[in-house]
Amino acid sequence: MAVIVLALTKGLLWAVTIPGWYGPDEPSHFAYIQGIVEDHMIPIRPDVNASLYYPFEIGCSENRLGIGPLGPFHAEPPFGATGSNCSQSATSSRHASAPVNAAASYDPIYYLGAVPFYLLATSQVVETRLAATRLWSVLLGVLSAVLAFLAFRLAFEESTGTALAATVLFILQPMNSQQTAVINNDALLIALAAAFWWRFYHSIRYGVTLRNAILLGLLVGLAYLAKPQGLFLAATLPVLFALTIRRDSLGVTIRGVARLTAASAAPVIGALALGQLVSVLAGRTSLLIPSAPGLHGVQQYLQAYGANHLERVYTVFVAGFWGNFGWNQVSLPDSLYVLIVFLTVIGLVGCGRLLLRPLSLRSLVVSSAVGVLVAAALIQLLELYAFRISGSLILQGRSFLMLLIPVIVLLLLGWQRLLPRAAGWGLAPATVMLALTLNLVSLARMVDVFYG
Amino acid sequence: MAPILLTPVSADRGRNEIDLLSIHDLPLTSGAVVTQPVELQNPDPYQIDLPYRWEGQHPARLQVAISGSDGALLSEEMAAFNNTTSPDWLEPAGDGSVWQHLGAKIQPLRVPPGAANEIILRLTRVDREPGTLVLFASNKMPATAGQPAFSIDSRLTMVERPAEVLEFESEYGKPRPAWQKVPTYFSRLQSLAPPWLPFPVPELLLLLVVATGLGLYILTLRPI
Repeated sequence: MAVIVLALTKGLLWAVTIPGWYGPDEPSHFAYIQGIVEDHMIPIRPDVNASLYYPFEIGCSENRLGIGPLGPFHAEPPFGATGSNCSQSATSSRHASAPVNAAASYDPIYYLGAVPFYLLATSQVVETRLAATRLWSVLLGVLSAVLAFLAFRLAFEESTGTALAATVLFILQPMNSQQTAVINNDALLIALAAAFWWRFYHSIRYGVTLRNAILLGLLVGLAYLAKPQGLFLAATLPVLFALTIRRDSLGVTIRGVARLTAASAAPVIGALALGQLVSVLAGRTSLLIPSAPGLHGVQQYLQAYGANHLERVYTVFVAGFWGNFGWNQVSLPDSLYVLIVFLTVIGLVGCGRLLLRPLSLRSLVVSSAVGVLVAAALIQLLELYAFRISGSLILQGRSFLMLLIPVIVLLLLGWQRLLPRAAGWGLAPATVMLALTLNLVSLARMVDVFYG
Repeated sequence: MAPILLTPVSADRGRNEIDLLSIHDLPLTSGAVVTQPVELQNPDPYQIDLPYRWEGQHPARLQVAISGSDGALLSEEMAAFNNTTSPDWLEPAGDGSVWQHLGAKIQPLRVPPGAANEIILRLTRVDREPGTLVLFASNKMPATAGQPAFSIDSRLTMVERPAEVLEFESEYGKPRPAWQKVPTYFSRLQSLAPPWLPFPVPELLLLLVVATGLGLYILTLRPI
């Protein structure tokens, strides 16, 4: 119950703290939903200048909230300054001028789920409709918190306190808090990934059944429809099956893994086909604008990550994963990032030491680590593919949030391993306090930037 | 949390002054001059925050002259711009934020009391240190036919570079510890809150998050 109260109050607090349109790409995601309700269509063409085609009231409202011609990247609501220059007739325009949207390449599953929330405030001004629609993400955040608790209960079966602490860290992780408070299909991906990891750890504990394999496949399929990188959760399944299946003989093991893989693949293929069907029926085109051949190869890609003392590595995996809020206007203090890196390294060292001993935790560590590494590597390869076509670096730290649950499992196992036995009792409360402080500092930083 | 609550903050900041989309270096060699008109957005201006980068051994020195829009000199003083390089332990790599990526720090320039409406900021580099002091500028976006009025870039440009705007941020009101500004933060947040979260619901939400977090902390202290 406390988990639900914390997830709900935190979700509502973040939703009210981040000003409208200040969620990353929020105007595009909202325009998608508004297009479904007001124009009865989904967008078919992505475009970097898509905002030119959004309902005029969205541009006006962004302007009222401080986002002007200079873009949202260093904007704050104006408070007391002169208001918008939009006329009353302009602000009442709810219709897009063309089915163009920067989010057009996404399937409509998240956006259709948001429609009832939009309809709750359909007669209200656009800012109120936006706030109402955010509630969909908040509820998905609550759902993902409950599912995460179920997953952590299985991962830390011997200690409910550790499971509870892991759940609190999941709920209060700052970037997770943002993405489940603003309009963004990440919220649905996070919830579906949480359900996936719950069933994943259930299989680790109790062995995998055919029914569970199908369910895992179904969750991967839905995650793919929420956001394409959700598909990469599928890559963890053969490893899971290989680790959990009864090993009578090599032949039986291979046949068993193949049978379970085939069973889980069926719903994934179904989801891929459904996504393709929607794409063909809607006549969608690709967002990636091809660049000149030969300009963007693997070497250039690696250079982009290695430049400025690995700045992009740090940006994506540390700053962007934990705390670049809004349109990257708000960042956590540098010293906090250093602390996060330090604690992560400690956790990974602890995991490494767990692997060196024949412990019962080994399969949990191996499966979590392989799950994180394989899925993260595939997400990275997806970016390389996009880079080779268009030269775009599309990843943000939040692109990896679907892996937050196994990351937390690894960190807590690692910290637990390195702590002296007598001090082990302190891990759970220290984790809760750390997570609470991190979340409050994030809120304080946002409040100062947006409302200062 | 304590350092955040004790950090001095001003009562208000200028809006729509910095453009991160077209930000670029503005090198300032010895003897160079930059003149930027500043439209004050509020009464009681306190200081102008000027981002810069300087890697020289000794501080770079600028003569900072501030005059009214009628040309009357309001203040003139020397400002020392210290080295902006951060220690490696604090920034092992850039965090991706624009200012850190640019290696910039912020230099506060005090606005004299009595300044109102519009002031002219004139910066002259007077030191003879080797190396280039870097300020930052952005491009003024040209208005196009049929462009909605709200999306026109209305910023004033530099006298020496009529297509560019010096990057700065104005601050209003004497800085005080952030905790003293909490009521202002809440009232501003409340002004944007949706109708179903009237006062004091956002405040109660914050209390509830803290209380639930502390409750869970106490719960995990006991073996369960």
